[in-house]
Amino acid sequence: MKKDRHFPYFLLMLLMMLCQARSTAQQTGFRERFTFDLLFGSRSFQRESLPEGRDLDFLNFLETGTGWDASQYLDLGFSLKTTEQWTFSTDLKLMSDFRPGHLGISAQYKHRKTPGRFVVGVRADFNVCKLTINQFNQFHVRNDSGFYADLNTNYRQVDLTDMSLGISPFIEMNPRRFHLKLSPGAGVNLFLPFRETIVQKETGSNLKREIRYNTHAGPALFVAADLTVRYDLVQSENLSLGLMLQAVQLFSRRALPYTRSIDSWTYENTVHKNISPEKTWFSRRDLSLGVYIGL
Amino acid sequence: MLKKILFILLSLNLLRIIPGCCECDEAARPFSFNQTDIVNLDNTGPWPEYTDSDTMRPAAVAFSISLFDSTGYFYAQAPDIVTPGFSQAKAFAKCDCAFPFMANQHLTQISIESLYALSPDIPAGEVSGLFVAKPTSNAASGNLYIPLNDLCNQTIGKVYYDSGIESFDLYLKTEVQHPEARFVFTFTFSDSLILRDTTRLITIAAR
Repeated sequence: MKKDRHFPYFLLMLLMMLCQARSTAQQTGFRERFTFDLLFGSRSFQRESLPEGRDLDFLNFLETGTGWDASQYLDLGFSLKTTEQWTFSTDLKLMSDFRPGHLGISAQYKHRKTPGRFVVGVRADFNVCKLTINQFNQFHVRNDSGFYADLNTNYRQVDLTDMSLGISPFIEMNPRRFHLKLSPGAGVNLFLPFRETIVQKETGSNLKREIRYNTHAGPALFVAADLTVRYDLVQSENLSLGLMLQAVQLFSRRALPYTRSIDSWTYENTVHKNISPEKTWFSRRDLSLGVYIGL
Repeated sequence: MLKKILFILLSLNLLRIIPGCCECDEAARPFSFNQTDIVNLDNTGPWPEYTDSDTMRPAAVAFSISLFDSTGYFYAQAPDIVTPGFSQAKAFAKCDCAFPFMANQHLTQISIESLYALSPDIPAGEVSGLFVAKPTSNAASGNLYIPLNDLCNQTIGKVYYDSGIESFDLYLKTEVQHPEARFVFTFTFSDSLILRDTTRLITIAAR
């Protein structure tokens, strides 16, 4: 729900920036450039599963729960260069089941006077990435003997939304038909909170208990690096068409803290406990290859 | 000419749809609780099930209770709407109206008496505090049980959409250590009416 609330503000902000940039472009006579990228890539992420303790660690059940996962995606990128300095981009990754798995919005500013053949600048990114937590109830199945560990017999899958806001300087080189851009950056990422409930019943007994999990954002710093290589196959004043390669790597130490509330028999004597699982390394890498067209 | 006739017939048939919707009377029908029914529950599995057996596990003693009107306000049929010479287009021959019911009284107290000692520490007598309830109507919410007082409070001004029956399950929280158990349920209503019913003799199975 929170995601739905924030997203329109970002779109509105982007629209306002675009309108302002367009008017500046009209004043200076600069022609806007629109670029469309179509990439096919692979995303993998690693989050080492921690030893199972007394409390549930949701991130142990990320995707396949093995600590390493990979999936393929189709990447649709749109960018609009509104002035010599400003470029605004959106990036949508459709996963192998055509489910939107990643949305990125970025604003990039190039420094006007850069010595030599290099171009430097700074970029701000906002990203929303979809992950899933699967069958977290298995923690209770393994640990709560004597109970029907989860009366909900459905496949327990939770959509985990990973949001990040980062800033990164970049350096760009444009030797002949090649365009190389490297941008190391840093920022903050967090998980959108969610709620899950486990209802249990003791076998051969009337005792029922309800365990409610309310997760917290668990903000964490990240460092990331983004390398983009473009090669122009066709180069003219009004059209550029070429091949591109993109690689992104992100590192962060993350955990998913939560408040656990337990009620037994009735809802009269709730026991609350704040739990913070141990932080451990989380990494994500994207590698994609495709084509682009600039108009 | 044939097309005109078909057009007129089609128009008339389409017109039948306009008054075809059932206009159900939303006014609540009054009824009075005057009868009880007790069914044993087998609650050894993940969900309670009705059972004819009089044997229960020591920690799974449970009963399903129904309070209702003996005159049988379970369902009220809508009166036929007479439209001579012009039948309505409806999916059913008669309107299938589920009328809401509202009881003339509400529960004020549920007291439970055990006819046998439940354990060396719990002698025969008043054991209401050892029971919890779970409403079983479609409107019931929550996964856990509720105290008996809360169940009584929920019947104040309650509108029964399914049928004129107050149904709930009662669960014993403690483990019965006596080989037999039997309980007397006393339901007190706001109009001072008291309904009393006794369970069958329950044999407590070994663990």
